Amino acid sequence: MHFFEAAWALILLPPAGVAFSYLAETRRGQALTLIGAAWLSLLAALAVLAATVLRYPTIHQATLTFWTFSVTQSPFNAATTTLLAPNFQVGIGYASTPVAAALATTAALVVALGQTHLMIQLRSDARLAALMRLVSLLSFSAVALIMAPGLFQVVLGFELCGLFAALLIGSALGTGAGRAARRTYLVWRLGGLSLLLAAAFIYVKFSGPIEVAATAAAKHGASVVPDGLNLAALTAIWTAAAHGQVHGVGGRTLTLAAALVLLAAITAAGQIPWHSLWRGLGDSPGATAAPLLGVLGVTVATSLLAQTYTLLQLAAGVLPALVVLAAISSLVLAVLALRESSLRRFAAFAAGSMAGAVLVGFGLGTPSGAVALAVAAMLGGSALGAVSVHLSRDLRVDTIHKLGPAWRQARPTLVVLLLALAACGGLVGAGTFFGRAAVLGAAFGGVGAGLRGASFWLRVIGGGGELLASGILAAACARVALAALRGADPSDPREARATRRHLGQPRGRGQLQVLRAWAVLAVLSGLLSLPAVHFGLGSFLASRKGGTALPLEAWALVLTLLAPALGAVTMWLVRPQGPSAAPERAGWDALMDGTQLVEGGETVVLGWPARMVDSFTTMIWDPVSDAAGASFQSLLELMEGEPNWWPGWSGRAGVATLAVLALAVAVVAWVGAAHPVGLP
Amino acid sequence: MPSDLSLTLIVFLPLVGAMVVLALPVATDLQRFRVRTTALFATLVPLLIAIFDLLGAVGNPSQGALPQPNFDAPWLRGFLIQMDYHLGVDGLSLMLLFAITAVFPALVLASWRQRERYRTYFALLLLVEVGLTGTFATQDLLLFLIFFWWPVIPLALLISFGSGVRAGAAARRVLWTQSLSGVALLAAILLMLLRTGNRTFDFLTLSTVNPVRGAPGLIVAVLLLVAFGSRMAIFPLQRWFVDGIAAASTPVGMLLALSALPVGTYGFVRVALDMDPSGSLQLVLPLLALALLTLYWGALAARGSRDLRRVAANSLAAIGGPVLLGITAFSETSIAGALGVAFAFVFFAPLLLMAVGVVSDRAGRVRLGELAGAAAGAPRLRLLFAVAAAGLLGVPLLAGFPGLFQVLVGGLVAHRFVTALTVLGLLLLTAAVWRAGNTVFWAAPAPAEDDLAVSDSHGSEFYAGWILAAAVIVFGVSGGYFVSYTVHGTDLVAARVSSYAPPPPPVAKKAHK
Repeated sequence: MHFFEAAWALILLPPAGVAFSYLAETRRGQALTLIGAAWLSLLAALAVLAATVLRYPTIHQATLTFWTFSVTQSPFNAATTTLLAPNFQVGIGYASTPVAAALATTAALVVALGQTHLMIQLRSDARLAALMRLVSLLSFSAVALIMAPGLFQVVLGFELCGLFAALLIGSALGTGAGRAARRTYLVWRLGGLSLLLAAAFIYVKFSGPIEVAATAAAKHGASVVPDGLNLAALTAIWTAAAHGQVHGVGGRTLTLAAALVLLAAITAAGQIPWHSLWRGLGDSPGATAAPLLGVLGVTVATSLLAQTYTLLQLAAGVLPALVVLAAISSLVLAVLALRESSLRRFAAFAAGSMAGAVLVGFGLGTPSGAVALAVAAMLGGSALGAVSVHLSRDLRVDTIHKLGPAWRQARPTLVVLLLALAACGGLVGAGTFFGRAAVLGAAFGGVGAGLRGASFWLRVIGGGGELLASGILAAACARVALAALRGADPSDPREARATRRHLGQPRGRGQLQVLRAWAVLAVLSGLLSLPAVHFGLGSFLASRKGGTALPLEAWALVLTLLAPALGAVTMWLVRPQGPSAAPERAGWDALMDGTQLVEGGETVVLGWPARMVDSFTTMIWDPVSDAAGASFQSLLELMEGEPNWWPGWSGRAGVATLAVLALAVAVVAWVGAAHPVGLP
Repeated sequence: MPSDLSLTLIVFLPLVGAMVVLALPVATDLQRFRVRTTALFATLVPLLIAIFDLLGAVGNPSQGALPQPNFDAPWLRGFLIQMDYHLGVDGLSLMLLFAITAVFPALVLASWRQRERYRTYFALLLLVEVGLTGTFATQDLLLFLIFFWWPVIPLALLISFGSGVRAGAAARRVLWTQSLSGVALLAAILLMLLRTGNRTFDFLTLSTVNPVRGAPGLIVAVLLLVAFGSRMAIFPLQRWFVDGIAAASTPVGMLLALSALPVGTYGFVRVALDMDPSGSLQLVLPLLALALLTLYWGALAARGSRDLRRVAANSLAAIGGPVLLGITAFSETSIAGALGVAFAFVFFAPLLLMAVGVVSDRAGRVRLGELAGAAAGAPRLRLLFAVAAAGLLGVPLLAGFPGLFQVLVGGLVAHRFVTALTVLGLLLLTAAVWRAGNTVFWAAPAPAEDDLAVSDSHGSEFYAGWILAAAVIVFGVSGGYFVSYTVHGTDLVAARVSSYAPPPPPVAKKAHK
């Protein structure tokens, strides 16, 4: 018994929460059960992450087999008998690789925050329990996929993710919800069927030489379960096949298998021509949009590519195709985000563009950078989605041109929006910045030792496309931020009056605490660890231990996720000690709402999560945001002379943004060339 | 070992039940209740025997060879033919027989609210069970023919009881189409008899003797294709199935589905592959074409149909495409997959038809546009539909998946291109099923149509639905239970087909520089 076993809790707690929620009689009880399961799942994820890093290079695996059967096949029209694996096993299990542990932790974190947000936002909605159950089941599906020891479980997780996501989207009240759900499910099902075909094809072609797998897997301390679709075994077999050591399997087979996996990955990431997936995810009901944007679109594709990266690398022409497709998709989605006026769809397209950047990273040969970017993108995209949903649903600020009044009347929420924008837009040092930098570094030749560098033109296409997409997305984020900071009313007076009226009667105040925590995590995820560890500590440790860079970079991801938690604990420890008379009110409101009471002339925030975030806000964030807001205001005052501010801004600020990005690229290229990191 | 009489009891107890039901009075509510419970009892006893006497005695097949329950008694001897009363099950038929016995109690529960022709209805339902269980339990080809034909008349009568204006026409179509398939099977059997000179119809003997070869073998294969393809409702012989389901009452539609694909698939494997391997091998290309046409036609017809029942019926007919692909791949894995899908079909098809039938019955309408959002306020019905549809589409951990995966594995080895097209067809089928499900079960009802909202599943109908849904989930999670039995039959069938396959063309060696 050791910490690895916590993976069972990580995978099974969400569905267990769903089952137990039916025992609760009240909506509140059901919601608390599901939230408890989500947060416990996060704790289990942290335990697994710690165990994985500490015990590396041992990759611990365990499988609970549902059914198994022997297969030998003598096809009637083949020259030779195809030997299939002696046992085909179907079950559920885990393989605690560092990448899987890090992605699972992030997914669990996003789901826990999302469930909390959902509970506060939809507390009086009759659909609350049903929606939370679907989110829990989505979490189970995604984590099962991420932690999968075998390709069958990947197929299982992939299919279930699409199903539950479509059911979530279909639960929205709008008239277009059904159409969006159907579109989402069909896109996802295309990927699912492609993955199913890939699994069957790989099973037929690659699962035979199990002794090759066992020998290779033993080097990593992995106990290969000869079920024919075990990923550790398949990785060894793919490598052997590429060297001509597997009878009857050559480059064409590898390419076909990789192409099928690639199709699944690009549909899951909503890449062109399936980018309408993001619109559907953004339109899901209430606060469910955030987990969907964070967990579904980015995580599933990242995990799938990371698990099959050896195959993709060995197959001719697949990674270049991925780079071209993802670069174009990232660019197009960034342009769509730039043109979008709806806040929710803006968030969805921004998340889609980030997913494209992640895929470019894989294609250019920096899977570690891509995973790091994925972690930041998951947190950033979901935070942006969450605050957009709060603005559009509770404050009726559903379009960008209504942000002006909101800046005056709901500034705390808008500050959270700005934070999320900073994380997604890759503001220097925040959120996705260093992940993007890693991807661009790869385009400039900073791939890891042992990795095949992309060709020159591919690096130009991938790097150039990604650079352009980053710039456009940054401009789109800046456009939204400036629309808020400028504080202008909507041009239609009636709309302006309605917006002001809605803002005067805000709903769902308790959400702000969760959203603040979410956005701060998104910003810090990039800030605290990635620059140091991705380009410094990872390479350093790799060179010292003679190991591979990617698993050691798991330290980076641990720090990425733990550092904000440590910061939060510190904030809680140094929280303002109010009058002792402040009652510690137990229960729902006190725990989650962060209800503010005035006790003895001092504002006291009840409930420890709220208090934790509030301490941070009052002590650190408010002064910073006030200063930033004031500086932006003064910037805008300078521009007041211009009747049409946007072209002027885009001319100057756009150039400035690109200049900053160019500088960042130069730094990253230099550091990346000096300290190459990546998958062996 | 199971007792000698266990299979006889499983097959003929429903017949006894039918006779008792016909003898009971139905004047009062209590008497009608007795009719129902008698019918339920007559379906439960075979199930209990199947569980405890057959499956219990057979035990875990992974620990050794499958003991095969068997009862053989001479029946018609001394004529030109030797016909035995030979009942027995092996790997090919055991789980299908079990599935049929398991699903009939749920069918009786689903028929609990039957109001008209009380005795006749339940008696005919029990007679259909005799035909279906007999088909899977027999080991003699002439006896198989009798049981294959047996359910046709009861089914036609049950369909004609339907309230729809087309019930009579649909019943006639079922009667003639399935009679024709029976005639085709009879002709194939006679031709086999004449060409091989055999006088016995024992399965074991027929699966070991030299089969009919050349043109006669091809003619036999075509006749068998007509017989079993018609029963499977493959293209272009699916209309009887679609019309029958559209016109029949909901429980009768469920019954019709049970007697279609599972029986046809089993017949194809048992008779066409095992007894006429040479002829079947000559039909590879037509079979592959029919597999694709069945899937695509069914999916497109389901997509284009405006009648909810027809959407369900066409979707169910479409799944015959992957099944036919599995059969045509002629490998142990793929044949096991085809039988696996047929096994799953026994559970998800009635469940799907029950979910859509309940909605259209309660709303009194069948057109999709008029039923928009009708079941949006019925979460149990919604869940039942979702489980059934996901099972049909092969979503993992549900009953349809193990078989479908095996079909794909086997299909990829033998017919890679057709397998890829089959996957694409499954996507079309997904679109069709999702469209109907979303329109009726998820979409918010139009404001003017609020009064259309149907009440949720409850009572006996609820129990029937949950029995079927539980089976779809249980046999999806533990699909290996089915597979481990089936491989004890499919390995022999695959080996027999392989032994008559033409030698593969020599592979030209590349010149190495």
